[in-house]
Amino acid sequence: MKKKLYISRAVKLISFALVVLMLTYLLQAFVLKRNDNNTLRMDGFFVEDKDSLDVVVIGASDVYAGFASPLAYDKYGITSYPFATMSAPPQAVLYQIREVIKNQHPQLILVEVNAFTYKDNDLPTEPSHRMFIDNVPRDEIWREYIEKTFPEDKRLEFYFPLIKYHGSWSDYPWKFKFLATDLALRQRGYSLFRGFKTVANEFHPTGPVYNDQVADNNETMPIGATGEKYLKEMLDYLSENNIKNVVFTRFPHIIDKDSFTRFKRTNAIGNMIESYGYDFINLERYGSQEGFDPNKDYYNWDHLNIYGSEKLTHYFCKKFIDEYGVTPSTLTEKQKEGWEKSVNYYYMIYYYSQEMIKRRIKLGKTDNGGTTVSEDDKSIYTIEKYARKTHPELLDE
Amino acid sequence: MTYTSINFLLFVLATVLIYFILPWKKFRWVVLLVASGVFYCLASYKYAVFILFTALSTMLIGIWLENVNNKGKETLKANKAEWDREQKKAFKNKLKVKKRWIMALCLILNFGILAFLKYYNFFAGSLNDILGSFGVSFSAPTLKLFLPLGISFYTFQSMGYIVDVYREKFPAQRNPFKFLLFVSFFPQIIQGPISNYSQLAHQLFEGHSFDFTRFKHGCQLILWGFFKKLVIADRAVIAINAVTATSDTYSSYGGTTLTFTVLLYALQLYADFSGGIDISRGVAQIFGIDMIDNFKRPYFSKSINEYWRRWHISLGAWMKDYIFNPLAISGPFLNASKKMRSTRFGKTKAGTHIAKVLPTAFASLIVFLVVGIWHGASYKYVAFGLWNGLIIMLSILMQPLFDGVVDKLRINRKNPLFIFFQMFRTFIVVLVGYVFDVAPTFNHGMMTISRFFTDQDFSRGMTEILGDSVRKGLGLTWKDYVLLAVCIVVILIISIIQERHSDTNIREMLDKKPFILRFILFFICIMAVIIFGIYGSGYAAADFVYMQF
Repeated sequence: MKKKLYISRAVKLISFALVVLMLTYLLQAFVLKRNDNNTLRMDGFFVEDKDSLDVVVIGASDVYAGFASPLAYDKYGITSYPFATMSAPPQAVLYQIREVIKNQHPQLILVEVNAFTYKDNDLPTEPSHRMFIDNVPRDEIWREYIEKTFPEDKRLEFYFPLIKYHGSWSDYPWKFKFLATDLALRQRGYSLFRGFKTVANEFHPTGPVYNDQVADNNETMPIGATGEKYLKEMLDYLSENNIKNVVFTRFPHIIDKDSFTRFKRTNAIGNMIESYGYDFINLERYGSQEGFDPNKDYYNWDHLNIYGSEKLTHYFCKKFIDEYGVTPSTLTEKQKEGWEKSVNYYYMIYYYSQEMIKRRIKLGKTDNGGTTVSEDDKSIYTIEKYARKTHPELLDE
Repeated sequence: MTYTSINFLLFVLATVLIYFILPWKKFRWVVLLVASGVFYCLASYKYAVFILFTALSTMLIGIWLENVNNKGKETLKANKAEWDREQKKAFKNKLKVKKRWIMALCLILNFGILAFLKYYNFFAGSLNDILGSFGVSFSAPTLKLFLPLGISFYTFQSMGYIVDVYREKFPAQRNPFKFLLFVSFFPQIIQGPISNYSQLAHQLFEGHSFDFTRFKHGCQLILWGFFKKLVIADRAVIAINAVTATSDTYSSYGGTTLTFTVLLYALQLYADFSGGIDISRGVAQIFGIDMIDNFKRPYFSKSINEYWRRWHISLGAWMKDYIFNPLAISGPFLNASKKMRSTRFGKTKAGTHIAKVLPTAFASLIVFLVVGIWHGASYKYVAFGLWNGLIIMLSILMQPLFDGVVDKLRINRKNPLFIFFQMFRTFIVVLVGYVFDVAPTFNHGMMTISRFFTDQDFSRGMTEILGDSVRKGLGLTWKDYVLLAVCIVVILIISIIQERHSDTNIREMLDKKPFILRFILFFICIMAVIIFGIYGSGYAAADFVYMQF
């Protein structure tokens, strides 16, 4: 009799504990986590079929706003992905490269160096680290990053992110737009926008800009100590591990008086990279020569708009093929189908953004602003609605 | 290690396992002693010397008292035949005085430490102010003093013990380790309850067997405590802290916001304190130890007197046993009553009543002055104590008048509306007392009361509370306030059930419900704590969402 009672209690207790643990896990993994366009982009990278990407572009926001992977596939057959998160910190770049190599083995890795340009008093803070590391699978790279970057008393919140993010319940229902898209993305097996995000705006800088005067300017100034430390660490890692298929770049930015010191730091970063024998393509310096117009191709000081990203994608794809020998991989029918769908969505983004830019210009709005288009339910609904009226052929219906 | 940390839960789990695994039941109290020692040292090992001193001095003086008493009794017995009545009486008086001095030594030593650490700077500052106002240039230095963990609670508990030994309520504890456990029992060291030796000690030293029902009920009580503390109290305190951040910010808020803050404080204080006590009682219950309930739905009180019998019950009981009762039956108080009775006024109906209750009324006033000072070293706490004491004193003195009015108006005392009126009236009186708790200083407290009446502006209040494009609000979103409102409803429902079924143990009630219903209820409660609890370093959505690039 007593034995029966003990067994019944044990079963009840264990089943209760299991249900609580399971639901807590599900909450942590899907609902009460940081869900935003960075999550979607990172998740999109990790659901790509293994070794199916020809090129991966690493960096921060300028990467996913500047390089349009669907366009690269449409025009050149190159499969690519912007493995980038908002204001990625200098510590992150090496780990981004290691994750890319671990998951994809691409023919080429293009690294945008924004992360190393920060001054020591202006380094990205915890949210920027989290946008990257919270979206990386729980592997040894993830563990090492946390252990090297954060003090011991902070680490528990990374191992059990629910401790950090349980308060995000108050972001709902607004946050459903990311949650629903993320679940759909995982179920589909690829991201519709392939990480691309833009803001529909044509930015016209108000003060003097120096983009067309800096092509010959090789002035340098010291990089921040933190940036330099992690740049060196990354370059040493690449050299020691004989990783050759990495090219570094600086995407185009509008240079004004304030950002001129950053321009000089970028030159110093380029020199250091080249001293290790790696290529550095500085489009901040040569951007104007390559046709990037500060009055047409940007949506704000640091990010290319839909026109600028179109130019940049063409520029790099040509370079990938002509100078670095990248050849498009053979894809399965299913993979091709997915990429074609992404191409359709890219054009929906393009046409919608074009229309929004026209409207803003008509209203005389060329300041820092505009409509954000990222892979979330709300944006998808908006661009599909617009396409239904203007380019119905882009929709499956 | 706070009671709501994961470390504390792991610590409790480890202690529970060791306690029940230990095969020698009669030594299980040693596990509790070691755990209490570890807990105290982890929290503040540097100041462990203070609790050791209190425990050791109280125990030794207790033994001394008992020895003196026994010796006196033996002497009395030995001289029973030889001594006449007068000699016996004289000896007894001498013995009593001696015992009193011994007890006083213990009280002076230990309350002296507490008073010095907690109140020295307050008194030094006050002295300087007073001397300064008379133009005396003397200045008592202020010191950088610290308060050892739980000093108020363990000092009161120990001093209660020494008074009871003096009163020969129980024999003195002669085992220093057992006494140290009574003083330092870890579930109650931070915020009580202040236990009585005769109620707690035997439970601590007895080796308890594992009891599944006690374990289950203990866990449920801990869960309920976590809910009150993490979901309600720690959420409400964000807004309260925003208002009380500095004296200047406090003064900048209008009457509506200050009223709202005091209301929120009533919720926060109850949820925080009773939640903490629930955790303490839950942990003790797992070990087989029943600690007294410190709260009995205080906001349902129909008078301020009743409120203090329902709020912080263990402090109230301590004050009653060791301050109120001795004062009320003390010579000067009884003499004053007698004197009044002999006057012309004392022979009137009102005078007879006042003379009768005078000792009680004055003892109440003094008790609440002490309660106020116990809360903290500041004039605002003195005001808090005085307010409560005066109201109680007036209500005792004027009871016949109030009864007469109620009778004249033919009000049925059992009418729910009248009961509700009494509760509401008492709650308002309690809130006025809380004003002095919330406000940074006594003057700010007075300012708050004046703004209650002169500065009510709903739309300004809403802007200050929720914020707008210019002002940040009090750090909580409207969703937080909705959540707090839901929590109030939950607490209210549970309290009404307990009130209607005279202290029904909700957990025992739930035991009789189907498994699946209990499963769902506890599951919801755990999830509510996990999701809605305020813990961790916090998540600022704005850091992620609005920081565009």
